[in-house]
Amino acid sequence: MNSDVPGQKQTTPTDQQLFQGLKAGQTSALNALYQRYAPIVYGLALQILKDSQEAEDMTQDIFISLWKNDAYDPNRGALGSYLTTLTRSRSIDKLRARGRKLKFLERWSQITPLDTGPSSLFEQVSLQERAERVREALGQIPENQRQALEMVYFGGVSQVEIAQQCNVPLGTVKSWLRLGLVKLKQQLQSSLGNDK
Amino acid sequence: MTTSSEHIEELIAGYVLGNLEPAEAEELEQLLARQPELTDEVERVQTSLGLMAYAPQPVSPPPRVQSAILNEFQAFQSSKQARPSRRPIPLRWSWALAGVAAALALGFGLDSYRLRNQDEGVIAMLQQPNTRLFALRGTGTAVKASGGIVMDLDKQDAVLSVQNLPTLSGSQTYHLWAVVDGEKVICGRFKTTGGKAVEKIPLPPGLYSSVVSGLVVTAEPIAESRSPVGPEVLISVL
Repeated sequence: MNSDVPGQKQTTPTDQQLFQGLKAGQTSALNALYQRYAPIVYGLALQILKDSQEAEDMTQDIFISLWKNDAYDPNRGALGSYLTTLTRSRSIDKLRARGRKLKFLERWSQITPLDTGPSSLFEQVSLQERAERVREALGQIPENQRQALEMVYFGGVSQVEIAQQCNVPLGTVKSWLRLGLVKLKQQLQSSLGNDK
Repeated sequence: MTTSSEHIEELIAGYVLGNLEPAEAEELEQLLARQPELTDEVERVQTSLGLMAYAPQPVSPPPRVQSAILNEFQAFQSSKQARPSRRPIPLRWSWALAGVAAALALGFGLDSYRLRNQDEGVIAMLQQPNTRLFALRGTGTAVKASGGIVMDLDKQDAVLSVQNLPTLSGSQTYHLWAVVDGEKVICGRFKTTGGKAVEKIPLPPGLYSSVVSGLVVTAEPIAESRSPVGPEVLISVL
């Protein structure tokens, strides 16, 4: 449903345009957004939940939230950040509902999709390229730091649990996480040049 | 006094990760007050953490997922056409809840006009056994601010209404914290328009079994803080 301007070459609609189309009731806009983001949402839910049925339900819920609850406000951040943030936090909540006892104060799923930060240059590169750069950046982080970050981010595991599992003091886990995140930021920044 | 850039980076990472010790949080708070430009760095680190979501391999869901979503979408569109206005509520309730909204507005300094948009939620909450009411008063740089919160700990929802809060700049965001065992636990975040906000905030599941002794609103330098370093602007009145 692009309103193509005559004489202008047809370009891929932006997330914003598709979202506006979806709000206006256009099925084609929903389909295009689905093609763009469903594999990311489903892949992330699968990574966290390790259960295809639950990941399917999650994907459905996340997309439905786009029109049902007015939860996404384009002025507050990029659509990709909204979808991934919501998928992660809801999947971690689901993990907890399965009986994982997470100490509340150490929970990591507090990322509510209220504000997903400013859109940076990163939002402009293709989704595939974005994924590659993130994987590459994670690959540059020392093993224990990367594993700690992944356990926390994808597993909802608390720092205390990581310390117990790895048999190291809590302070060590804290600094693994911090150093790992600093390194991740540096890697991502250098893969983006000096912009932001 | 200078602080090494590595140390600052680690403090910021700890802040974004939510694993700062109280003394470290205080140190960062002072640093941010002296060097407001560090807020940009906080945002970059936060964005980097969020980008981890793109690391897993994308996987196409089975076709039935798309069909189910499309069905929901089409059902929603046709129900929207059939029912252009908001859901009708039985007359008895609309009278009752107007009364409740007015009472709340008087008792808690809520903005009754805007609260009416939330009244269905409020009335439902007030019927619940595990509902708590908090009045909020301004503090620090926001002494003129006031507000109130209705919390339904069973349904894990809260409706917040605040007014006269200072306008925040950039990525600064108001954060609502519950005081549990003397610690501030994140409850939600909100933005204001013209100093006001009326928002429904889903409460974190962990609050369900916690003893909430009070509520605090802070102005945090970033969109999603996990430990408070910003100044307090509203506190609950016992």
